Amino acid sequence: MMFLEHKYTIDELIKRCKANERKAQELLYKQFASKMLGVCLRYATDRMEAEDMLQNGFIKVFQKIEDYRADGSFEGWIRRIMVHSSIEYYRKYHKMVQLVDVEQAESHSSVDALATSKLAANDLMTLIQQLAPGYRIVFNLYAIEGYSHREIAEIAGISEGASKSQLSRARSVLKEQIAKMEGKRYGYAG
Amino acid sequence: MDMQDKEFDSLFRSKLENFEAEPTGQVWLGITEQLDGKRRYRALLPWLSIAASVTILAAAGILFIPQKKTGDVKHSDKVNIAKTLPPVIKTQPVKVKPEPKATAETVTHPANRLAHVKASPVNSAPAKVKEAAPASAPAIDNVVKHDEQPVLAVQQKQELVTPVLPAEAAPIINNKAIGAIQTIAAANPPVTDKQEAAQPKPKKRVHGIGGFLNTVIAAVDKRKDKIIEFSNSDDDESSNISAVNLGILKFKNKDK
Repeated sequence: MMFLEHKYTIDELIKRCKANERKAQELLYKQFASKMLGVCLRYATDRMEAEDMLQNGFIKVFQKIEDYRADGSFEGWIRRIMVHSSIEYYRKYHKMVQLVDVEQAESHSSVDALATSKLAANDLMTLIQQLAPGYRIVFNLYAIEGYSHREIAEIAGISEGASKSQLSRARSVLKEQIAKMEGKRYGYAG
Repeated sequence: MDMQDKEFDSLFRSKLENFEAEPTGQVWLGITEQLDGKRRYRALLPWLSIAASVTILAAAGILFIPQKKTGDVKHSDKVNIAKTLPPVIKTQPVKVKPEPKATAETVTHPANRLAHVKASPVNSAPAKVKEAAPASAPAIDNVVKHDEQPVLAVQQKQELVTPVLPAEAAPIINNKAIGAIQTIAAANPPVTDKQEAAQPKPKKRVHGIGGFLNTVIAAVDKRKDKIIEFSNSDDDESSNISAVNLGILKFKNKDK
């Protein structure tokens, strides 16, 4: 019942949003704001940045919603806009100095899969936010969004090789950080 | 036990893919502000462009049209003023003498541009009235009544005559008919000759004066009004307007 009502509303909301109806825009925003903030948080250093990205992203959503065709999932469409908006945010406010070719880094630190799986989502989010922006963007695009290196190269404006090396470095840094957390835990426990 | 990269990635994905967090109310406020702001801006664009073009046209008008406009307006005023205030002119010529030198030089250049401005002498009319009116007021009223129809030529003669005649002479003139005035003017050859002789040469300068007056009027102060007084004498001769004005100015300049 809730689901049917929900789905009906989304299509209806999209129509009304295309007519620039403010109330419909607000309902649509409320429907997706929390999920999309979850996306933006992964690309941001902190919550403030993430909310800026979210705001820019929704403005684009309302400006481009006229172009939306119901040939794919609407949530996927919004999510793509949020990702692009987040990357654009970094292009605007941070020079992506970190997005340069780096030596292919081998991951030396070994991390227990079990230990990693015990980490809460909040901890993983914190780890990602602590990455340098270049690493963070590539890791997000590849590991979580599922883009290929070629697509990442296009989206982030870097070479495919850079994308690969950044991804490798990002993983390596994350594993180091996880190992540190584990060490602390064992330290406290012991 | 080491994780494969894929395993590592999927751990992050599974835990963060559906991560949610409630944004603060500021985000929606910011969105509406930006959406409204852009709409307002778009709505304002046409008006802004209209305002800009109007401003540009106005600026162009002020730069290029103003001189002609001032001259025209003054002309219409001049006609009325000149008729009513002919006698006043007596005092004006004397006053004018001191200033003309400075003005004459400056005026000459504008004159070329302002050939159209012939009417410019009118500008000086108001100033004349103010200064001259008090002194000669009684005599002037009578004269004006008689003279109204006679046309400008008569007025010019009267003006010429008046400066020469002492204050006492004025009453006589009032009583006399226009024709009588003309005879008087003829009787006083010295004064008229000087003026007439001066008139032919001055014509060029008259235009210059008119232009000068126009330009002066545009940006002038009370001092300029005095200058206008000079032109007022011109106004009295309004029928020959430009020439008369020039002549007076020249006279003054020559005298000085």
